[in-house]
Amino acid sequence: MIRTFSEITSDVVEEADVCIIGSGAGGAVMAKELAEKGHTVVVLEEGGNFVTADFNRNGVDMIRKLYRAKGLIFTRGLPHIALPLGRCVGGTTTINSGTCFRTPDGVLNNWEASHQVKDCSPVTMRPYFERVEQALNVQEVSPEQMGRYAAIIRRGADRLGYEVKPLRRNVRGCQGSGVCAFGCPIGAKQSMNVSYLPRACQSGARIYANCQATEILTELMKSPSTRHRRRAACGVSGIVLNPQNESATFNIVVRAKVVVVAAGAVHTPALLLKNRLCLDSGQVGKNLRIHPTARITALFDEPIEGWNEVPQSCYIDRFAAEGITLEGMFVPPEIAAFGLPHFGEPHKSLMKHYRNMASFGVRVSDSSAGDVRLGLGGSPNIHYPLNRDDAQKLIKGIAITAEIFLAAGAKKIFTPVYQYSEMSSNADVARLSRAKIRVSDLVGLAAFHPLGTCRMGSVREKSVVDSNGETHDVENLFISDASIFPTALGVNPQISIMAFSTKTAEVIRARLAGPA
Amino acid sequence: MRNLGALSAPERKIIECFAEKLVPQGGSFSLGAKDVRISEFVEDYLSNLPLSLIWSVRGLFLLFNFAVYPLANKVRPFTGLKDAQQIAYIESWEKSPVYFKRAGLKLLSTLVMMGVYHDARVAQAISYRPKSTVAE
Ligand SMILES: Cc1cc2nc3c(=O)[nH]c(=O)nc-3n(C[C@H](O)[C@H](O)[C@H](O)COP(=O)(O)OP(=O)(O)OC[C@H]3O[C@@H](n4cnc5c(N)ncnc54)[C@H](O)[C@@H]3O)c2cc1C
Ligand code: SF4
Repeated sequence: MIRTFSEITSDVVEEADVCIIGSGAGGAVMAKELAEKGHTVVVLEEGGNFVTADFNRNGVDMIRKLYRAKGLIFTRGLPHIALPLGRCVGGTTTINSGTCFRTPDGVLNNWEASHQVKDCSPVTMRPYFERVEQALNVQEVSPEQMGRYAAIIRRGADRLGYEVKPLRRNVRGCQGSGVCAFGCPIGAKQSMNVSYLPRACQSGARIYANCQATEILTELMKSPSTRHRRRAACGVSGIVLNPQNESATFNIVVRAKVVVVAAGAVHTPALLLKNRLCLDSGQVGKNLRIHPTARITALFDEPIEGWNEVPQSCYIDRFAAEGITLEGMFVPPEIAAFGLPHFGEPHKSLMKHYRNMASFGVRVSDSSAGDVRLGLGGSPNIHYPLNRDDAQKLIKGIAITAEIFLAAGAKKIFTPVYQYSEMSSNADVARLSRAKIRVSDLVGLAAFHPLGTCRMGSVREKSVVDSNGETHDVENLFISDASIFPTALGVNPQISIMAFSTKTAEVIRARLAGPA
Repeated sequence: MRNLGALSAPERKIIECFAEKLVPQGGSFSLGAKDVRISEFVEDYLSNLPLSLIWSVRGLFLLFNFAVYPLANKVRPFTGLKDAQQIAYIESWEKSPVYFKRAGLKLLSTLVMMGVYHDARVAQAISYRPKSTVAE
């Protein structure tokens, strides 16, 4: 059952075993895993509920409906980086590209060794990855689906000796309509709104859309083991939002034995900070990683029409050891236009030829660290200064991508680098590679993977949640989203989030079952 | 708490003037910002956003308009400049070594470009014809 603003006509009081805040990658998986085992589950989701027929392929319309602050979220610090987040049933998975990677083995091993995360070795995690991938029908993009822009990338990469690999995606019957980031118009992408959440509902989970959690309710409980009194979560209260004007209409209170915060790596720490919970380690909101990304666009003589293809179908991981990954990234013209240089007739002439353009992304596994702080009215401020090292990696990735495009026959290359926004030869690229670039020379970066703001670990002073996802400070309060990861992943995170959520659901099930 | 209210007439004028220079009518395709009710688009886009964001964007448009005085030694705001001067002024922000000018211009042009290319007639003019798909 999904209830939205229009169906809520008075204050709501609910009782459940588990209340989950957020219906994205972390929250949806938790809801399904617990509901299927017979637990009563209530999910509160701040954004609206949309069905496949609502996804009309119009980028701007969809951003208005599905993206937080209509896509206008930027980090503070040099340079400002756009950080789009989903705000709808299904969370950011509704607007993501459907790319699926497991957490790399090296990252998991590092978490065990350096961050004292227990039970997260590649072998331990394998069954969780498999369970998620099976539920989402994760499969490699077939050669027929790779499309023309991927063929161009391959043409250039082959000439330079780089291997182009097909991505794995969570789809059923994808027709390459090119708008994954604006809601899949045929329900092919297995985002949470068409996969885990319907299954959670079938098992009795109740989802409240347009409901913003504002307070995590706690009480003092006597711990059976130590007899000390400890703070424990006992529910959530919030408000029902009118989507027309965002005003609060009714109140909602959910009494629950367990509370799971899955509001994403920006809003989970903000909610904890606002509630003054889990502050002992001083780590809430810290260690933000975002995987900064640059889009490089290239103009060809031949028509490509990248909008009629899978927008993210292939990648190059040759430089992954250095923290640089090149990955497909095509967007429709209303989004591409502001990433291209020039204005007036020169700009119009570029847009007239948009059907002849291909684009590719450069993503960095960042060492820069930001944080989420409370701003005016309790909304999050995202601070993230890009360090020189990461800026340098972006430049290297941009240069390599430009070389690939040139090798494939591109006439012009467009980048977000000051004074190098348009290049047309390898000599230009060589100049870029040699140039002393400042971080402030990068205008127009984006990042799609905020992570790490409530990191996991067994050392209480250095982490917010333990290896099971339970907060060190508050009993029965769990976190299950992108905020728990101790470091950058270097790969797209949704499968990692879902696998860890599946694992945490087992712990919660055992907790609810009581002592054996 | 969040609703903006309408843009003022001078703000609309700044947006329209700016947008018409970014995407003028004629040239590679006939349509331009003038054809798409751009200030209404911007106003609608800003509605219901957090107040701090609304003020940042409105403030930036105003700053852009009036920064002509201290930055370009001109005696008129952007809206009062001649066409060629307006173009030169935008170019001075686009090519500026000052980060905040380039970043500010990017944000303002983002709103305008979305408004223009979101229009079905403009999409048609640049041959943006997505194939139709049907759920299986
Ligand atoms: C354009 C784009 C493309 C992407 N592509 C990929 C990809 O191809 N592959 C991949 O692996 N990853 C991708 N990602 C990232 C991935 O989708 C996210 O990392 C993932 O969805 C994060 O999961 P989460 O559970 O942490 O948060 P989210 O999925 O963001 O879910 C959090 C939910 O909590 C809700 N919420 C927040 N605060 C409250 C509150 N107080 N009360 C109630 N609800 C609240 C939010 O509205 C949101 O719906 C992409 C991201 C973007 C923006
Ligand atoms: S490319 Fe495939 S998954 Fe993406 S929106 Fe189109 S049909 Fe859906």
